[in-house]
Amino acid sequence: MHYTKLASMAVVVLVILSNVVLIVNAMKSYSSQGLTIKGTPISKWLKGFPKIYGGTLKVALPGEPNVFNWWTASSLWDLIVLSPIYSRLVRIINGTLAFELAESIEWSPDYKVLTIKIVKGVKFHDGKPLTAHDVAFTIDILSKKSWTYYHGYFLNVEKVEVVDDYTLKVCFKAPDAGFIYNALTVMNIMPKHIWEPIFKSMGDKVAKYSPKIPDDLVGSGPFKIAEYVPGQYVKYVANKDYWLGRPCIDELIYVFVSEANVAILAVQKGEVDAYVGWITPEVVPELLSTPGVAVHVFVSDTFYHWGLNNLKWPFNITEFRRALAYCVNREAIVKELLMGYGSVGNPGVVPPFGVHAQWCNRELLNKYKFNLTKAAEILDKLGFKDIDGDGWREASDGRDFSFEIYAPSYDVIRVRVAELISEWLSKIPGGGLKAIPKAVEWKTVWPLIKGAKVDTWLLGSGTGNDISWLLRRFHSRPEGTGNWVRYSNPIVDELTEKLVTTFDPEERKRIAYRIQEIIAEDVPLITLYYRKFPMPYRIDKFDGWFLAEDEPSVNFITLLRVHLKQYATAPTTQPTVMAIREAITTIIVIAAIIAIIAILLIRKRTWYK
Amino acid sequence: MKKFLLRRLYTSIITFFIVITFVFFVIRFTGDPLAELEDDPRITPEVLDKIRALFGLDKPIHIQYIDYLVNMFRGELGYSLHYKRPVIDVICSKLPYTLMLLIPSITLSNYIAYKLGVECGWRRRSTFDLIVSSIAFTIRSIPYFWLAILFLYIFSVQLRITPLFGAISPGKGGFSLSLDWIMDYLWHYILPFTVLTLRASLALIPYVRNALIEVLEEDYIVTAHAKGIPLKTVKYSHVARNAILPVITIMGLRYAFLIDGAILTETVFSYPGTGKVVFEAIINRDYWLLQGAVVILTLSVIIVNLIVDLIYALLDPRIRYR
Repeated sequence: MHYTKLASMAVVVLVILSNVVLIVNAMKSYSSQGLTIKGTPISKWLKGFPKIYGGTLKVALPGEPNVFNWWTASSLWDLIVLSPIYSRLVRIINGTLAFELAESIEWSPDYKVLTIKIVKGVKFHDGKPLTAHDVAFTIDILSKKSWTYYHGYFLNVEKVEVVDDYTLKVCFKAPDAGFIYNALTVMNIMPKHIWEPIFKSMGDKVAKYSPKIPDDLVGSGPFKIAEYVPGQYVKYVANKDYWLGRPCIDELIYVFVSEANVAILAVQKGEVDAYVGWITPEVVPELLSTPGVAVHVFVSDTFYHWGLNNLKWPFNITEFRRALAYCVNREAIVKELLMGYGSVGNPGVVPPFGVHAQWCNRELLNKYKFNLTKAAEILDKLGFKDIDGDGWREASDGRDFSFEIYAPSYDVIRVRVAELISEWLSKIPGGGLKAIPKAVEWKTVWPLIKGAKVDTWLLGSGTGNDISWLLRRFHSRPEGTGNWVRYSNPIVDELTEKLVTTFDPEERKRIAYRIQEIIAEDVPLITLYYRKFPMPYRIDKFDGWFLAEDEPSVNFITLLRVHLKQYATAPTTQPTVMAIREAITTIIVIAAIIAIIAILLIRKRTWYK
Repeated sequence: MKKFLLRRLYTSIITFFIVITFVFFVIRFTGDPLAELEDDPRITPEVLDKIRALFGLDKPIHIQYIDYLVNMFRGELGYSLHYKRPVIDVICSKLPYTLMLLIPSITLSNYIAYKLGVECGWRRRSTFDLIVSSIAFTIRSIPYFWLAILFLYIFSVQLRITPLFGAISPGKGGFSLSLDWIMDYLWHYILPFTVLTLRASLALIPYVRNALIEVLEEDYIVTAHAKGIPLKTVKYSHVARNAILPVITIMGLRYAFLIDGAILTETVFSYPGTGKVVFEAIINRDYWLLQGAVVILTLSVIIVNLIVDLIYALLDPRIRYR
């Protein structure tokens, strides 16, 4: 009795003590200085190349921008064309956070207030200084106007306060650990003096406003927009007063070339210096054999996966999904279908490169190696057996079983992947699984995927710069946006929520690792590959290309660094040569047509007399 | 004649109304124009709802239809979802290029097809007919896309006398009347124009030729010859005028489909134009842009049809009195 009393008292004391330690620890982290965000200054990427000024860089784009209003711009081409005009606070460069206009970023101890100090002396193209007021205005609009493209990243912002001309405070309604990586890395700083009057006079109609070019397109970036000819090109001139020093090239031109074959010829002929568009891997050897042409291969973080409808039988059985994972030869898809232009999918979904590398759990990469025997074992255990001996496995209740794999008809690769998967499934020892590949017009099937009405599909999904994107894809929220497979696991729900509210980088990494382990274990979807894209560019005229693993050869840093080669001849004589040639050609061709018509008319008289 | 015109006008209006109604509903069955944004990690459901509201997509379909009709009679074609600009603006920014390329091309190719077709039919089975007809059939069976690339390869890559892409050299600027600009424009114009005209005229030749041969068998041609009328008059006034009637419809309707444009030409030569705008509107389910394009297309088909009917009536008095 005596001892038990003593023991229980000891336990109570221990519990209290441990709690005190916890509280003290918590107090310590609470009262300590808030979290200071670390990053490299952007100037680090701009060192060590000669400053040779001059030249016009011509880049071919396969698509044309539709919207020049950055608040609503959403297509890739819109964003590419607007990017050289504007500056940002921070940027992701080569997978790391780089500080551009931000001098320091600090979270308050309670993670409710973000204090941002910005670089002094930056000017907009029209000479007006860029201050904290402009940054605050941009954040304010993005958090209040729900029609802006990036509004989703600014949902948690409560208000923005300007402390002085170069300091501002962003206050949050709820903790948002992904804010800097997600929101600030994509946020172009818009000039308040241009846009505030427009917002005042138009209100929400700004959503349908097309800015006057170049008057409304004032930014603080390295290039000023000079001219836009619809369907033809956008021309920029270097901003000589750019705060990091003027870009080396005098002019930048994005030309719209809609046909990839023509764009490739244009690069080969030297009519353009680079092409930012998709080319088939087959032409790479020919491009590389052209003197002066190089090819940069970069990887995109869109994860292409085999989506399994977690609500539908038998895809709601974890074991069954695991069996399917063993039936997919991801290496073969990358090697044979993508011709090596891809990276093998991580069963934990997070891409093992770029900004994602810091959160990727690499131990999972080798999980689910292609193993049909193992799949057969699992299926046997689940009762999926070939009972009637027709070579196909029946369902556990003895009925015939088959399902569909939907692939978008516009993507040849995914159509082939669907066929390959169905082939592998048919080869499972002891009877195959019948999967029917279906190539379909995507917009027709999309509502069915959204409504969880189909069995399986092949989809490429976007991620996000901050690891908290896992919440969108794997949290079992009732509205289910983004989590199209309808995966539901309370532990993952809790962990993904924690990703948003946890700020300590090490702790976040641990949580991310754990989520990936669970996903790899549960297989809500089967990550197949991340695509790599070869893009040609010329190296005989310009030098200083910034080649990052996850970006095209033409990117923000390239635009600042690219410069004429020292021994390249100045292109002063070329225009006159061109003018003479085109004049002669035109005259010859017009003369030829007139001659043909004349001959026809004259001969008509003589033929039948 | 007046009665004939009125009747045609009256049916045209009904046709127009039926077509625009049909288009309105058919487009709305093809899928959600905002589906693409649903998987975009940056877009939250609230943002999507707001965009839907902005473009009136949240209203019930019959209200949307009434809005559409009301706006149309006010001359407004609405806002393009994709370009976030008035539909008229989007189409008009590209229309000059299309008109400048296609009107001369269609006119010239119609003329060449008429002249060569009449010649081939008149001198059927001669060496001339054999050569022209076989060239026409060869070119006609080559896919247009490939033909265009071939021309591009020969003239721009091998001979290097024409440019590879665009309607003007990058950096030359928008429309101006300077000699420099016009020369540059023509330099870029010549190849797409040639390919379009060549292909179209060769495609039309067999129609004219066959129509002509049918007429040649008629008794009144024998009579004309017997009367000793000069060959040239027989050829153009007796044969060609009668033979051309069915071909006029084909030739005329080519103008009506202008706005659809030469999408392949635009793609291969990276030439700006309305064809690609319409094509992208279909791909993106841009309801308003597509509706606007269809309205313009329908109007031009109806107008051209009216004109063709008028020409018909002028050429063939029987129609006037029917």
